[in-house]
Amino acid sequence: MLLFVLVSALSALASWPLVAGANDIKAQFPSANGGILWMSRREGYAGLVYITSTHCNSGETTAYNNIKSSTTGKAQMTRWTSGIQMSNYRCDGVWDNYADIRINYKDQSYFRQPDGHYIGGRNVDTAASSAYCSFWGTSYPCGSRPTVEINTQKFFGNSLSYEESEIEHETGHSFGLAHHCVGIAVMNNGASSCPDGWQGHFGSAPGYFATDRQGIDNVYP
Amino acid sequence: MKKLLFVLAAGAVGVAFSLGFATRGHSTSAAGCASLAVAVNSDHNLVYDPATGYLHIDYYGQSGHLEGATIDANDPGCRANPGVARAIEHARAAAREVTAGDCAQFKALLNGAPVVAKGGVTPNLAAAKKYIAEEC
Repeated sequence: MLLFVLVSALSALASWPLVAGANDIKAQFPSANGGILWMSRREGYAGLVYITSTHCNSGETTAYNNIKSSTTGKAQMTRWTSGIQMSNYRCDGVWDNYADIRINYKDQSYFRQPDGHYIGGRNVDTAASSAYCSFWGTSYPCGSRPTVEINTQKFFGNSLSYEESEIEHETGHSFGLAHHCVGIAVMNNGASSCPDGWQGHFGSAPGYFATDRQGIDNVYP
Repeated sequence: MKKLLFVLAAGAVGVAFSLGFATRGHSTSAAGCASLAVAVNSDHNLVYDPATGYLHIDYYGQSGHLEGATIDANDPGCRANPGVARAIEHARAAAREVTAGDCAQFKALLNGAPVVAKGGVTPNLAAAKKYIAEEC
C-alpha cells in the first residue's frame, strides 16, 4: 500500500511539469498585447506576415511553406483559419511600415561564443512605437517589430533542411514563442532531457509541432 | 508483486528527475546586471521596448542551458557587464534600424509617395508627421 502511494505521488510529480510548463512556451512580451500576429488580426489581415529580407533564398521560401502547411486546419489555430502565411514582401532588407519581420543576414562574428563555437541566429523583438500604432489607427501597445539575425556562414554552409529549421525556429521567436521542452517542438530548448533530445527536430523540421502551435495559441489569448 | 512495485517506483523516480532537470534547462530571473553571468554574444532571444528600457534576455548560461533575465536597458550599471552590454547593443541596433526605416518611409509619404492601405486600414499621416518631429 505504501509503495502504491509512493508510485502515485511520484507519477503525479513526474507529470506536473508537462502541465505547469505549458505557459512557459510564451515569450515575455513587455505588455499583454505583444506580437505580430496580434497586430495582423487587429488590422484585418490575420495570419499574413510580410517579410523584408536582406537575402531572399530557397531556405526561407521552403520554411514559409512548411509553416503554412503545419498551421492550417490545426486544432490550436482556429483563429487563423488559413494558417500563418509568410511571404517575401521585400528582398532589400529595408524596414517599412508594411513589413512585419525583418530577416537580416550578418557575419558570423556577431554570433561567436566565448568557447569559439557559433550560434545560428538571434531574434530581437522591438516593441512597436506609439507612432507606428497611431499610423495604423490603433493605440500603443500594438505588437512588435521583430528582427531575425541569421549567421550567414553557418546558414549557407549547411543543408536546406538546416536553413528551414533555422528560419522556422527564429521566426517562432518573432511570433512570441519561447524555447520549451514540453514535447516535440521546433522551439526545443536544447536540453538533453527534452522529449526529442538536445537537438530536437532541428535539421529536419517540417514546420511547427503541436506544442509550438499551442504556444501561439497561448501568446494570443 | 513487491518487485514489480519496486521497479515501478524506481521508474517514476527516474522520470521525475529527468523532467525536473528539463525544467531547469530554462530559468528566468530578475536581477541586477552585476550578478548576471551573461557571456558576450550568448544572447539568443531579446524582447525590447525602447520606450521603457524593458529588456528580456534569453541567453546561453554557463551550463549550456538557456537562461533568462529581465533588466532595465537604461540602467547605467548594466554597461559594466560586458555580456549584458552587448545584448543591449544588439537590441538598440535593431531598434535603430526600425526607426531609420520608419523615418525614411514617413518622409517619403509626406513628400507625396502613394499611401497604401493594409488590411483595409488607411495609414494616418498625421501620426507620421508627429513621428518625424520626435524621432527622426
